[in-house]
Amino acid sequence: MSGPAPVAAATGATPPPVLVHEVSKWFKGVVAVSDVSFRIEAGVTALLGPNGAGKSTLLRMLCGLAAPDLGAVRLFGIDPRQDTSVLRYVGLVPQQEATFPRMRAQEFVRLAAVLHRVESPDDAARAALAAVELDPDDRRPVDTYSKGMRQRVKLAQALVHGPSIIVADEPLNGLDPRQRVRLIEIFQQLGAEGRCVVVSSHVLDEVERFGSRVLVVAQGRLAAEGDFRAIRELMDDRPHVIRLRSDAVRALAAALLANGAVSGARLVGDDAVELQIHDVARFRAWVAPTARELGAGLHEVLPLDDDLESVFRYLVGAPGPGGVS
Amino acid sequence: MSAVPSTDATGATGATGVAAGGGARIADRGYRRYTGARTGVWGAMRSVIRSTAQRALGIHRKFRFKVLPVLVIVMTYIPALVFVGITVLTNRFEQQVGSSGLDGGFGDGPGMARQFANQLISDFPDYYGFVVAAIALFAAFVAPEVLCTDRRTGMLGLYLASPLNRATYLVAKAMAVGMLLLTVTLGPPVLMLIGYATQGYGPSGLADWSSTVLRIVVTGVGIAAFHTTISMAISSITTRRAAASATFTLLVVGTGSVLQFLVRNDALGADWGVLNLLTLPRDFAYRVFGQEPDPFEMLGGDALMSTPAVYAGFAGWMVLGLLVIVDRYRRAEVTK
Amino acid sequence: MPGDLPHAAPSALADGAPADPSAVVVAAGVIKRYGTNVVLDGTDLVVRRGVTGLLGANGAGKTTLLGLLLGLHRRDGGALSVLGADPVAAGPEVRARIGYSPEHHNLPPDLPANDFVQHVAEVHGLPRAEAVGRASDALWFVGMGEERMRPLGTLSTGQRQRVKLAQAIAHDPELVILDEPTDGLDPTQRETMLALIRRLASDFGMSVLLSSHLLDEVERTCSEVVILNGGRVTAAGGLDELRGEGRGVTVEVDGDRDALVAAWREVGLDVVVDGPRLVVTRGPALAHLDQAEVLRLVRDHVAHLGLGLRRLEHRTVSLEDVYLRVGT
Repeated sequence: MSGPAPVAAATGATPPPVLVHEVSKWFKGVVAVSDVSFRIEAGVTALLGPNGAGKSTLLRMLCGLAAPDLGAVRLFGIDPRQDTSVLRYVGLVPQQEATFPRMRAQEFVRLAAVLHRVESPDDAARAALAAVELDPDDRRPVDTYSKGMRQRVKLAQALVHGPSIIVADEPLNGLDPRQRVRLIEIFQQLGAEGRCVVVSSHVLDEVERFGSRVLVVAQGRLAAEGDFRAIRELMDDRPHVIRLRSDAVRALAAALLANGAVSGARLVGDDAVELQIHDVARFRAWVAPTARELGAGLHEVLPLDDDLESVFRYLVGAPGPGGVS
Repeated sequence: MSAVPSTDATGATGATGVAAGGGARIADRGYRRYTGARTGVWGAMRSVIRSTAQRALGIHRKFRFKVLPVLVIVMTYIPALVFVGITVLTNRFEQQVGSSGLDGGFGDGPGMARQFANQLISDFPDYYGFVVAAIALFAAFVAPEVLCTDRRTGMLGLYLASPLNRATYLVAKAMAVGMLLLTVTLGPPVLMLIGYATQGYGPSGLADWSSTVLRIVVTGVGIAAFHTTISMAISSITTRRAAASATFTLLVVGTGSVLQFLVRNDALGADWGVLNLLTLPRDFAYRVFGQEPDPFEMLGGDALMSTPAVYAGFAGWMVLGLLVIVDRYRRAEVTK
Repeated sequence: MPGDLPHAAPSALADGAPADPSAVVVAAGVIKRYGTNVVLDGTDLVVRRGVTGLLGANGAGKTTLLGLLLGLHRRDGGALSVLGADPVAAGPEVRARIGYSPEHHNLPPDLPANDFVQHVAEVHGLPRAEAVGRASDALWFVGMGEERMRPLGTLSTGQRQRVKLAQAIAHDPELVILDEPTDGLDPTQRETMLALIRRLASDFGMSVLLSSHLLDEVERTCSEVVILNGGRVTAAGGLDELRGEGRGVTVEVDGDRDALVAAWREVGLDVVVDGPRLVVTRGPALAHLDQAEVLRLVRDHVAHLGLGLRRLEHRTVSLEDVYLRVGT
């Protein structure tokens, strides 16, 4: 892995791989990104947001492909628009279908290595292809590859120069479930190696698997950042929704309402209730003892909105799947 | 099940339009199942023919898409209008001369005017000599527009996932293209026929009429079919409209100039002229009318082709075109 | 077949007619070759009413299978019946009753959405007057309002996906085949699309075949699943049936976990610590207890120790576990 000697800031601290500071960008009077600030360290960070929320614009600015109208983007302390040499340390896996030429995979990835002035382009290309589980000796031209294989070639090209910042826009697109699992592992590995990996994805249940650090962008603004579970804990104006299953569910729900642990209840079927809870710590402390006192069997205590999907929904203001909102 | 369920204010459910008292009704509209008639393959083909023809003529599209088709169509009708116009004018002239008693100093006044007109106007096969280029131009952009875009945009896949299959789809397209070409291969001669007939230049007697009409139809349909198959064949090879149009044009002009050069300079026998896509339709027209082109009127003074060669070549090109179309479409990938 | 997973047995298809009347697609031993490459190698499957998920690795034959269902290619062996007929021999009649939304986003760019849907509906057999009305209804159903007048080239991914769904259903098909209908959609849009797909089955009684790479989405939307691998169906059946029963419960607590684990083990429960989660199953000493009694033990010790209970749920096998197991 290669990275520039970090430019020490005035305070002497090492600048982070990616720093975005009060960045705004607009196109013909329409604001794409508005006053966004964050930093990204080593590891895997997921960039999430509704379509049209400004994610692609941000990604392009991170790679130096666009300049902010206000604010600053710095990679290892360096402005990629001023000093494009820092882009040597950045690998981009774009979303669009690029035109693939009539070249073999090894040649195609080697070309990227040469363009990045990697020392031994052949070896680097072989290693990159091996990392994404493609055969470097495959003689078929890349324009005959399936979508999944083309996706992996794109990734190999982005990795061949050993970048310390990897930006991937929907990298799992078109891949089948097994390929997805493999590729997530590859990204996790890259993050564990100390690289700074930024992945943009819409498949939230997989994003949970990449790692728990997220950046959520909505309506051009940064809606939240950090560990998504911690984000959920911070959202205390949002009642928690927890489903309880019991053989005496009505009695249990009534008792929990009575002792104040719960502020709303909705019966679902014969044996389940969805509870709205404002004071979740109190609920957690009370649920088992209350059930024991009543002699009610406790079959399930399941938080319905702790997953990334629910956190995302709350952050972007979309309506929930129904029921307790 | 054709009734739409609705509920009125009393809670009773009834069919649409029936208020069971109470004076209010909630009608349940929106997407629902369909139990009506279905039109089958022929209905699908009709729909394709209609949308194809509309697209080629620029209907429901921006103005600029109407310019070229309209212009070309007008171009093909102008000679016909001019010829008919000449006959009208000479007849008027004759009437005036006749009524005023002047004979123009030529002795046989009315006859001279008529002879003069006969020199100027053309008969049906000659007509094709005038407009063969315009017809080819029309064919050059119609077929690519209606075939290439479907393959480019994934519409072909959607068509083949419908009651249509490759064969019925292609037949529908061919019918649309063919019909559009008929407007320029059959329309003007028919116009001329009617015009001439009203001015006294038309055929006389039932036998003459039937043979003339038959020949006009055979020529018009034949030339339309000829251009349809060849332009569709070229449009099957590439998905880019512009490339297909250019290729067709080049093919026509190219074979035209090359063959003309070679035949005129005796490098090739006259019968090789069947490879000349520009003039072959005109030659076909002459043969159908039982004539041979006047050497002085032919473009560049080509030697004469034998009649069997003309018919064989004409049919041969069409067969070749059909084979290309069938082959290319059999291989087209459609579920990606 | 690998593993002991439930596998839908195809009904006898001597003459191509399905023995199971609720089946919309029945395939028995279907073979399809391209040159020397055998893409489908004895595929057996039954698709019934409701939403059925079609899963498989890239190159496992999904696209080919869909092509065969639409009668676009001839099979090289085996029997196939779609909506009760052979899709090749009776192609036009069968396809008139199928709606198809392809994976690609390639649509005629200068055609307004409304005209597009209407044309596809007409081509599928609707008379012109009906097609106009139904195209409009279908577009409203998928949530396209005034955008319907705009040319397809100017629409966003989300809008385009919705138009593709609208053109698939405008002619009221019996079977709807959707190939990656949520591709490119953000989480909110995806949920909306999946809800629409569920409604097609629940409100309108259509059979939906959903081809997707996203297992989570298939789990949320489909009642049955078919997994294709190497040209064969390696698992098929109802979701619950395929996933089977997991063993034990997963518990998450706040507070002194170690004390809890110790207390549980003391009474004979087996506990495995997996990050923040505790996986609890009955130990050999408790083999005589039923599930309710085991749960009582779990609950009582949590209450006794005064720990906060964050989560308690039965372990299930996920569809991903099933898929990865059979997809070798």
